Amino acid sequence: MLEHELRASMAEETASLTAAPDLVDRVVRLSRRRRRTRVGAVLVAAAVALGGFFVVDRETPVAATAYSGELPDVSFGYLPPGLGKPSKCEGTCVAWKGLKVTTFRSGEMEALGTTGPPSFIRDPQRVIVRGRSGFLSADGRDLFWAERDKWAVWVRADDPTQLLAVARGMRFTGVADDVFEGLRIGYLPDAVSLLSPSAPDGWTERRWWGENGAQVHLIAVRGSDATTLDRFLQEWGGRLSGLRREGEAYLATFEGGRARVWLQQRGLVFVLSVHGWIRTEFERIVAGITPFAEFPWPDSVDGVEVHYLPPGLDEKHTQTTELGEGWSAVRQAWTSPPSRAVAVIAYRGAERWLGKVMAGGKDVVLDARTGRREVRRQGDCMVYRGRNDIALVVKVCVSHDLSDQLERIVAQTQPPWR
Amino acid sequence: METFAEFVAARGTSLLRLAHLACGSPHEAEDVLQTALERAYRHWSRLRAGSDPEPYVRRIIVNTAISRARRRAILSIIPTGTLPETAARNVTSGVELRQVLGAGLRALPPRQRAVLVLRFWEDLTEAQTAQALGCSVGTVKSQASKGLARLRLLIGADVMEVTRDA
Repeated sequence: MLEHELRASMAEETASLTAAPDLVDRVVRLSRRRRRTRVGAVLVAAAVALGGFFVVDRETPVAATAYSGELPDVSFGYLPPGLGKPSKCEGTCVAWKGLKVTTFRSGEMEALGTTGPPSFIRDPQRVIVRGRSGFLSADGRDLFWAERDKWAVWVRADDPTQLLAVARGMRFTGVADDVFEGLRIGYLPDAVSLLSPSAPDGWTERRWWGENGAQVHLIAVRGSDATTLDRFLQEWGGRLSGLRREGEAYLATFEGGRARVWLQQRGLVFVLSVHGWIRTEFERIVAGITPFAEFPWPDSVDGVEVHYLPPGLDEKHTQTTELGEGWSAVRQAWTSPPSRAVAVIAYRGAERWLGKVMAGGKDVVLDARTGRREVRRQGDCMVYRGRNDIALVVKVCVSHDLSDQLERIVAQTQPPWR
Repeated sequence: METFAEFVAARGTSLLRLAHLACGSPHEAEDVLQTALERAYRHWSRLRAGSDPEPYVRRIIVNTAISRARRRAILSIIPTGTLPETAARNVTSGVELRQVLGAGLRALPPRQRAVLVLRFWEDLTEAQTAQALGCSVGTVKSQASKGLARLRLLIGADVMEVTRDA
């Protein structure tokens, strides 16, 4: 049996190992040395004390259909079941029973006007769609957004609950189409495509693979190890050779590829590496990476949109960021004297910390217009899993006199979609 | 009650072996063991008030090894860029099989490796393993299953038939 062979393998491998006779002395010396220099690990406790973390899974649309057809440069990672065959429609669009998607390119965009919502979106509300600014009709059936300069998309669905999933699963070919950890990836060679996003425990990453060893790999590391570049390299990059400082980043050229390490903000370091024959595209890829634009409305807490707040909370408190080993937390509060307050906290980072935030409380299911949301109620707080692939947990706390508003606030928070 | 020195004298080698399996490197194992023992030493009076300090030290060892392995993993990403999948090998002899298994174990993701080491080297139950790693029993089961599946893949399905028959 494999287990038996595995045990034998372990026994063989460790048979010659014995502890050093001076192990105790070394440990005691080490302890004395560390006692002198120890500063804290206290942040961890502070993080937990911040209140709740909790986890809810909001799955990204599964690429179940991957339809691409009459609509140029557009494919669909998700389509609702039972749509039947698409039919032609007037303009650059594709229509199924109960669903229609239209795209507008440069000339058409000018006709629509770019400064406000188009007339076919009734009673528009501003929303963030796929990380872009857009408009949603009051009945939740029409969604319009500017995918990029001079390229807009209108999705109309009879079933409002399917609208966002369709929009979220759309892919625009021929160009990079991803937002990751607050960065927009503006250019990627056509030769690579995204592997399933993953969030290893301790950092998050995106990988794009292509044939013949082509690979682009982007890693985000959060937390106290990432407060400065030097600290990051000391903790994580001790074995990296050939790094040279260039401006605000470190660059490396190695056999088969190139890499760049940079501090995006305090507590967030990115490592980009480009491998194989596409390494000649390295500089173009780097140039295409830009910070995700901040939107003035709705309120955003580290990318988590807050669409509803009880009236009268006029005082907005500055965001605070807590950093521990492998995690960060951004907190924003709105208050009204003497005691009314709402706080939204976005926790990102290593899975084990998010698990601690989620610990405790009781499972609750909320129904929001955008779909079911599973949360944990912890007293006057609720926590839920915002995103798995970028390891995000959202917590909302209210003062006791606003506890009847908590569900509504939580239901109308929106983690970043992309 | 056992002193710290007595504990290290009695359990040091066993803990070093655990650290070695969890880290996959003898040099790193010594470092991880020292770190774990240093932490235990700091809290020794509290530990002694309880019962057996070994599970506590074991827990520090595996979690420190996991944490370090993850950091190393990031570094290894940059200079290599090789595809993660490795073709199955045709291994038939017992010695070679165990060598391949040892290498395969070292190549596993850190948490999977830790689960297999605790389950099959330390002979902990699933519940004890979960407690040591600070995760659920379900996670232990799935990680063990994935880890074994990867090892099977590595050595080739044919070999498993051979070893089952043996």
